[in-house]
Amino acid sequence: MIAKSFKTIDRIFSFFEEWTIFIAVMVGLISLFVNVVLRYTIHYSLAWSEELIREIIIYTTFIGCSAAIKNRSMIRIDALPQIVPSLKKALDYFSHFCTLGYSVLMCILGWQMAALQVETQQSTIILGIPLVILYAILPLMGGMMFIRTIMAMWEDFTGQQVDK
Amino acid sequence: MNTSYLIIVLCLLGCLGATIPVFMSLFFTSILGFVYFTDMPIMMLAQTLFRSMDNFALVVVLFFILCGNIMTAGSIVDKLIKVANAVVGFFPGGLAMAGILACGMFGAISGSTVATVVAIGGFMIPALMENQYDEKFSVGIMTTAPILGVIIPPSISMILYSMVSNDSLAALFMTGFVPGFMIIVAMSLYSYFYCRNRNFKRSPAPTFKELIAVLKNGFWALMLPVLIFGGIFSGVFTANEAAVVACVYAFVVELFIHRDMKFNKVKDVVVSSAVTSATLLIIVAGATAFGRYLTLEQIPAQIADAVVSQVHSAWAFLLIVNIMLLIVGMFMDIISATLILAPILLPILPEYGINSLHFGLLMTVNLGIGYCTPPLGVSLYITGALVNRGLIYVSKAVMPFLAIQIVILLILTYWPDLVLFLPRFFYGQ
Repeated sequence: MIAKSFKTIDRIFSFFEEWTIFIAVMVGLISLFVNVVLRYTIHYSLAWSEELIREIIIYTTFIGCSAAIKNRSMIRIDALPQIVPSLKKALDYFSHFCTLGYSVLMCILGWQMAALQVETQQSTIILGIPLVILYAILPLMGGMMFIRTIMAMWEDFTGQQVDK
Repeated sequence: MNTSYLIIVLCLLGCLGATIPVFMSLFFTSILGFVYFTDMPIMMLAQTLFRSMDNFALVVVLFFILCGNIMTAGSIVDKLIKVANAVVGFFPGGLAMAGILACGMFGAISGSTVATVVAIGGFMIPALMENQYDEKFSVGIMTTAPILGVIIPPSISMILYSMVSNDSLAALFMTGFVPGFMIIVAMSLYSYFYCRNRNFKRSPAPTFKELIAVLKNGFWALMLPVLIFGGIFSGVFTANEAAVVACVYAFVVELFIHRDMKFNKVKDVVVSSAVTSATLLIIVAGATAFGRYLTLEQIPAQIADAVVSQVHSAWAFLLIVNIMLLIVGMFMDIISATLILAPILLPILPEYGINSLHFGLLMTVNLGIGYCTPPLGVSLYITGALVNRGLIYVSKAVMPFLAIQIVILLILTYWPDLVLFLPRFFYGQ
């Protein structure tokens, strides 16, 4: 039962992460490339492309972190478990719990900041994207990281893989 | 030293040691600092985390990683090795030299050591052993030569250093060429003398026609570094634009000219590059939050004062920093170490009249060496896994090459002009 629901959640998350990241990066790549080409051909540049790419970096970095928890590719210093292998399990769980704590913190702080943007009605300068949408990435990241971490803990505990 | 600083240092080291992801360790430590030692709200930290990503310069990290991954997913590695082998393969120890040269060429496309070990090492170690090179030598050389990936530009750690130090990225890139060349030559000479009297297989010298054929085959791959460096150093592109153009070029070459990459792999490559770049950039965010705390408490300035009062000459300072970085490099990866230490060390440099470009290069070479120093160099584990050997075996194998690289590091440390003449010549810095 748990395995099945985790698998479904994992599928939905992966689909969401992969496609949105892919589209965001490709849009960024193409708009910056077009910008270079335009500048050298008709001496015109797109004012919005730089702002857009900054937003894309924010998005891919924070959502990419959720994917990195699944792949377990977060950069960490694993000196201690290599020197004392018996500590590995305990440290893994400790690190998972810290990640959970961080996710909750991101949800709370991110939510507060997003709420602040609603009050002040701010938006980005050129594209006019309401800042609340951008700041909403933080609680979204927190929530996804939380669930991804729970799944990683379950994997460690049962020795099964979520996507198998 | 103040007790509160001691608590902060212990908290950071404790978090890092307990395998908490680096960016979280930095973030938690800054929260501790904010809550206990300042009266700022922690929402400001979350704000910093977010704002630090709102930076156009970070684009270059994402797109250089993407460019390297596109080329690795295609057939570039194979072509580069063929070119390298045609150029130097007929010397004694030629295949080993070709491996080193291929690392250098791959380094001019990719900005990371691990990518170079996996791409070139995974290919060259079996090839060397097939040609009767002994295993220890093969493993040693292919574990250490990939340092070129991070020294020869583009280099991810240099990009991040230049963001911290506000140096021109193009000028910092420029400093990497001479050290890269020195490492290629020194390691090749070692291979030459090591292999001269041993009976390893040598490939015959290629005829002019064969050489042209190999170069023609590798043409599109070899043009990529030309495009990147030519573009950046001639001022046609900014570093950001060069990364973008290089990605488009790499896509076009791999999809339409080499046709070694299928369209359905494009998404995988893009997503995995974005995730890799996310794991690096989020450390930038953590380090920025931590940097906020450091500057609020004016810690770098205090450390600078303390160091200057104790250490009286530039050469002693550089020696101490080099030893410290070598030790740090044994435990920490180059990105985290650069982002955590550069803001602390940079304010000290003017006191000793050390150029920050020179120092950036030293940090890169030094922490790059950290990838293959026992007990925790990542490269040791990768090549060890390739040949099914334990850590001790690989550690012994890399020793002569590590010695070469450390000697080069010392030369670079005490002969700044060697590093700086290129950027001075081109940029007058």
